[in-house]
Amino acid sequence: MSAHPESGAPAAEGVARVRPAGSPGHPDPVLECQGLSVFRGQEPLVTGVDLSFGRHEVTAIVGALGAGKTALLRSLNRMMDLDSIYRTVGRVLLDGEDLRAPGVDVLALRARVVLLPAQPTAFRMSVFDNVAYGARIHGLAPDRTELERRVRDSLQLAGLFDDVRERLRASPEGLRPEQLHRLCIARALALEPQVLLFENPCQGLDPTAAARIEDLVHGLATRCSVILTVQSMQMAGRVARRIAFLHAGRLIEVNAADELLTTPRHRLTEAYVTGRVA
Amino acid sequence: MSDGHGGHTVQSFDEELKRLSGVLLDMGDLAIAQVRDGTRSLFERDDELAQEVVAREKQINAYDTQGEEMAIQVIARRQPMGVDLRSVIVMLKSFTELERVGDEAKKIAKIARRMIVDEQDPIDAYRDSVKRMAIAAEHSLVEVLRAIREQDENLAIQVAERDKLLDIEYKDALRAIHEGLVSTPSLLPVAAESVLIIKAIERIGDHAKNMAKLVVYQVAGRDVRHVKSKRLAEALGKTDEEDDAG
Repeated sequence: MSAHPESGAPAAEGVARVRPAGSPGHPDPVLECQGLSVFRGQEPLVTGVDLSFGRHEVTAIVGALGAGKTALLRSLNRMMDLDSIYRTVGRVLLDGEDLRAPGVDVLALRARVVLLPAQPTAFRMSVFDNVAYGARIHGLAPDRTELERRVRDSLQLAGLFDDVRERLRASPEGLRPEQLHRLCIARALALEPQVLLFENPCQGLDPTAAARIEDLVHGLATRCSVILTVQSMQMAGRVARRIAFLHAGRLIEVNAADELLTTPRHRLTEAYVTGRVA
Repeated sequence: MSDGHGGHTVQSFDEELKRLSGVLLDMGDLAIAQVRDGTRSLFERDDELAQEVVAREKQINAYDTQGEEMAIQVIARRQPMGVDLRSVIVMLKSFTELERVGDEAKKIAKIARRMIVDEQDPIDAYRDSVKRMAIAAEHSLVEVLRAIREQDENLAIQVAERDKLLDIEYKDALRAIHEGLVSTPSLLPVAAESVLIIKAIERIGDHAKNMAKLVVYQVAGRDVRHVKSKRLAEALGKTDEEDDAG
């Protein structure tokens, strides 16, 4: 195994490393991937990615269907481990701590680095219990008062409190799709996470609702670091400060959003942002 | 404009960009004709031609409005990015530059008309100098439109660099007008019109230079609007050999 010239991390076996355009390193990273590769069986989904994510910053991972966005995102809190068909090589560091090191408490990790799947799902319990769920199972609220504070604050942060204040004990049934998204975001926020991972956060929403959710996601950076996958460059540009572009599992370019969208450095990024045939 | 960049997956987008580019190039051809006819009406004391130039300015404005509306539509519907975004922005700004070229050409034609009516013949003293300026400005416009059509960054750099020659001509002509006034103060009304004419031609050269710098931005992605023209090639890291080749 050879050392990676930039990160010093061991390169994945049998994986050719590419140097992406832009700067994959961040001056103040909260999460760092070093030579990260993900395989489904023998098939590589993500190949030798070196990339870091800034603290209190929104970063968008962009690419076509099958580019490896979801596999990369789900590797950041070891969700890929849930299915044995997937194999991960390389390192992911959270505040310098290797998430794949032996002895890491994976459940505790997933409360610090929370994944929100594309499809928001409310549990069959009250609005209050939905939001309190994660905080409860992780033992984050020592008493009822603290739990209520977390639920109220999270609903307010998610912009849902005014809509549901009169029905906290009622079922979330009947909530509009946008409200359902906000409920799931509130559930994640109740964990007071360090990093929020969003899979296509506006999927299935009409443009107005999507714009409001984008606004919310953008604003969450004051509370935590946000990493999201999107297919739309326009959305990435509106929400994120930094964009990483993946193509066929490789990190092709990472840069400040305004630069990547107007003057992409790599021809594949150019082809993708302009909608040309790559 | 998609020339040289391969086709879009969405063909209708390519067609929209081509239509927009077509309007710009048509407007550019009309602007060149306006400059040519405006200066011709001056040199040949052709009042009819000067009237035509003044009347045709409406067409230039119509192109400007049409082009701007089309560009806004493309931005709103396609939300272009990368080189496409730069192309649309460059075309949008180029419409404005060409509209101003039209204004300057109209200004020259109106001065020509005034001089014909007042039976002034201002040009004899400075005819050669003004003619050289007019030819240079027209040439710059022709070349910058070719640079837009062919997406030729090197040609655009040459156009921007050549503007300094027009500036030198302008200063020489201005000096000649001032010197003429010292010896013949009675030429003051004629000299005043002459200054307006050479200033208008010099501004046409500036608009061509601005468009040339926009082409550089479009092709190379570098904003060189505020880079001195003589430093353009250097700022873009182009060697003499590359320039020669271009």
